[in-house]
Amino acid sequence: MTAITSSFARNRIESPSSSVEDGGLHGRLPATAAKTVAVVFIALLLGAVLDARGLRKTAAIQPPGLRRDVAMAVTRPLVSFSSATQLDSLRSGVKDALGRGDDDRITTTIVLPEPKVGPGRSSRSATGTGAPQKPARSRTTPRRPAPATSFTAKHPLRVWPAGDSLVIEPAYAIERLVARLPVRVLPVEGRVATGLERPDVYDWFARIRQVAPSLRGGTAVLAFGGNDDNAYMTALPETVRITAFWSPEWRREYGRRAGGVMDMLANRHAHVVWIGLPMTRDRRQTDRYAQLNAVVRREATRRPAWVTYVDTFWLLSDHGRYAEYFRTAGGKLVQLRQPDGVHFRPAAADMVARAVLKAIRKHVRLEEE
Amino acid sequence: MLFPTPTFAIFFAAVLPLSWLLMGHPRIWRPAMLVACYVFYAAWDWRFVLVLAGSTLANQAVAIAIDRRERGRLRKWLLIVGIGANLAVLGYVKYEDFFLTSAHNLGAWVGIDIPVPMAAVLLPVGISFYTFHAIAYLVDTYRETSRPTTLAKFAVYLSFFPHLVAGPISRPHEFVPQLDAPRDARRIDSSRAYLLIAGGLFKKLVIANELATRIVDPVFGAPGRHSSLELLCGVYGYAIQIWADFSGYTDIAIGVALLLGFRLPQNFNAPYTAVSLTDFWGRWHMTLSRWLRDYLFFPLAHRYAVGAASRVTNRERVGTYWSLLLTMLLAGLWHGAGWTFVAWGAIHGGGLAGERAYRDLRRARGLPAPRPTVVRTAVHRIVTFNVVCLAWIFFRADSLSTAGEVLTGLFTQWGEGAPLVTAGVLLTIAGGIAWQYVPARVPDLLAVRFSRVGFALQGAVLAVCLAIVAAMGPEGVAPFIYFRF
Repeated sequence: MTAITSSFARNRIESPSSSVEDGGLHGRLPATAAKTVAVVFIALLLGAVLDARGLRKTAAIQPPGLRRDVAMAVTRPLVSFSSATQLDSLRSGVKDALGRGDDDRITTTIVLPEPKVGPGRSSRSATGTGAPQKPARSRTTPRRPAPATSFTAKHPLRVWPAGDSLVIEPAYAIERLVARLPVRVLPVEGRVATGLERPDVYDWFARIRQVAPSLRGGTAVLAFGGNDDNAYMTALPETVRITAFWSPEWRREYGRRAGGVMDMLANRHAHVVWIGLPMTRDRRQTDRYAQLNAVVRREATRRPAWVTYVDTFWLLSDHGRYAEYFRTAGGKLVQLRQPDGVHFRPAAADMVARAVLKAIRKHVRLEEE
Repeated sequence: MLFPTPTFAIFFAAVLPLSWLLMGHPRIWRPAMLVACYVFYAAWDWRFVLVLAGSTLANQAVAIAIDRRERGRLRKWLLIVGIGANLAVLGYVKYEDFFLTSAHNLGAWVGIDIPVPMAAVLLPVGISFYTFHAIAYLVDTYRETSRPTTLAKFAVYLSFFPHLVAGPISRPHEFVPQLDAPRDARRIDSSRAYLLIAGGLFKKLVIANELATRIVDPVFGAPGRHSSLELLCGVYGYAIQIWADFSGYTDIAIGVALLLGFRLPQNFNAPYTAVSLTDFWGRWHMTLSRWLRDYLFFPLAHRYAVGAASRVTNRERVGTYWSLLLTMLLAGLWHGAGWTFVAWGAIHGGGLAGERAYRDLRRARGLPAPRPTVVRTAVHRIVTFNVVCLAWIFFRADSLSTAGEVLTGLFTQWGEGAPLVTAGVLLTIAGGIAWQYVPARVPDLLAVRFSRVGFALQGAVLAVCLAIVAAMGPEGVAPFIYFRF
């Protein structure tokens, strides 16, 4: 037996109990409990003051509720004190040096292209119910798409995947799928726990406005809504008050935001492929996602020349029911969803990517290499 | 409740003084600490606490039953049932999907349609780690290395929040004696704790998160679309990311435990300076490798050990190689049910067995162990690091085909651009490797100096460190990689 003891790891773990007995301090001065507690409290309190703007942002982006209210109440005086004493300059200095000076900004207003139709008509059209209506155009949305362009290896189509966490796996799947096509997939911008409801968490409107000019002639593959299935919306116009998810005001405002994003890109002659929300293991969440999809789909159908909506709700379902698995042509089962019952596994992402590519090909010609 | 969050800071700010206030009264301290640990765990999902409490009661009952039996078959059967029950629960929550799909696919192959129920099994965070603690408790009781303790002490051992969700895996004889007497409130090794916590936060929030978002995730997401240089940096980046993520977590855990007066075993010791795989496993996740060695490898290898210690038979030799391979294959499967983890285990198991066989061969020919020279050590380190990185490719890839794409791309996609390989990425990887080579005396000396500074200045320095790390880190905190294991 002694011959095998050194075969595995030559583990030299210091025994915790023995090191206590022999002091184990190696020249370090021990501290008393009172001093230790004092140091921890000084570190946390002073650290909170130095990091006040970060804590404020963390508090602001919490979901609505008591926890957020308390966090906001606590961080308000902290931020005032920190900026009055200029102790917040350490954080802002580091952020600026890293080129992330905007991280702590909390957006309270959003800028969208002005819609042509009034809010009344928009709200009716955003319900997703009733007879199909003639798609209305935004004033600023170009009437016609650019003629179908041919893309070659020398002039590849640029594709920008962006959105919440649901865009990440499909973006990688698109990259895999277009390996032999003249497509350049830009680095995916998948920001966890963000959406169109809360620009205070992350201002997608500003980001899209910033990216759109460089995307001229390209395609934006967007996925939003995974975190937007609730009534809490920030940066609302002064006249708007939202009381409940799926209320007329909510539908009108969410439609305005989704449509605004589409217009921002279309105005710069970029196509939009919008990945709709899938069914999830949670039935109530699935219902809310269906409602959200209705709003987005309506906005997409109003801009048929520039926007294509990809329906994952039915694509990944099993005859209209949530599907954990998918049966391949060979009869083999592959898992579609992550353990949370929401996010995609690569097999599901591959299916979504194929649908996205099909949507892209509606607008452009891609010549195989 | 993740360590690097304001929620944990508030939780710890409440628990730390309370723990020291009650420390002199063990009968109150133990239930109070147990409540704190359960609150910490319930922050993920309150149902997790039920699983943990159930595991505590069941394992304590089995340990006492084992202890009450003298030698005999029943005692052995109790151990087998105890270990089996622990592994059954772990297997059910971790591998239910894998077994159901495999059964279905097998059924489809022979023409039987086995329906797959859509049961969403709750996977309690950290279940692997407290299951390992529980198995160690049962086996040590069976081997009479230690005797069962009281239910309250065992419950605290199993649920102690610093090591609850991702280790380090303490042995009962290391931790339980620390619960026997109150910790000394005048001898807290606080300066080492502060250093570990600050370093751990930096590793996790800055190094691991930066590498994950800037290079590792994009490269492993679509390896066919990236150049060889990007793939190489992605693989090295992942090696540094997983080290920074996991060792960062355990550093914080050990530091937090130290502030409470408890010592947890060391879990990492500059793993990428290893000169062989055997050496690597003595430096990487040391408490797991020790657990695997004591509770899996030794029992396996012992089956082949028949001769006297001085005379090693061929059967014993082959048995040792086979046991090494099997141990690492099982370690791979512990990480997840998938061929990628089997491949990871096979590389490590095969490597360990190969090293052992080479050593045996030299001994059989009467050759002495090679003298370590600077060049030889450097070559061994480079080779070991790259073998470990090869195994990491399988560990990180979501399928064997993705791993194959990465491996192929490493050799076939040279000459293409590498926009992901930025100065920041290279600097972070280089910094992560350089970190391994910082002599142990440097942090020791730093801790000695820091322990001699006044407490107000200590607090101020720590506050500045926390603020800088928070500013450098991304918004939000990604979960630790090892939470899912």
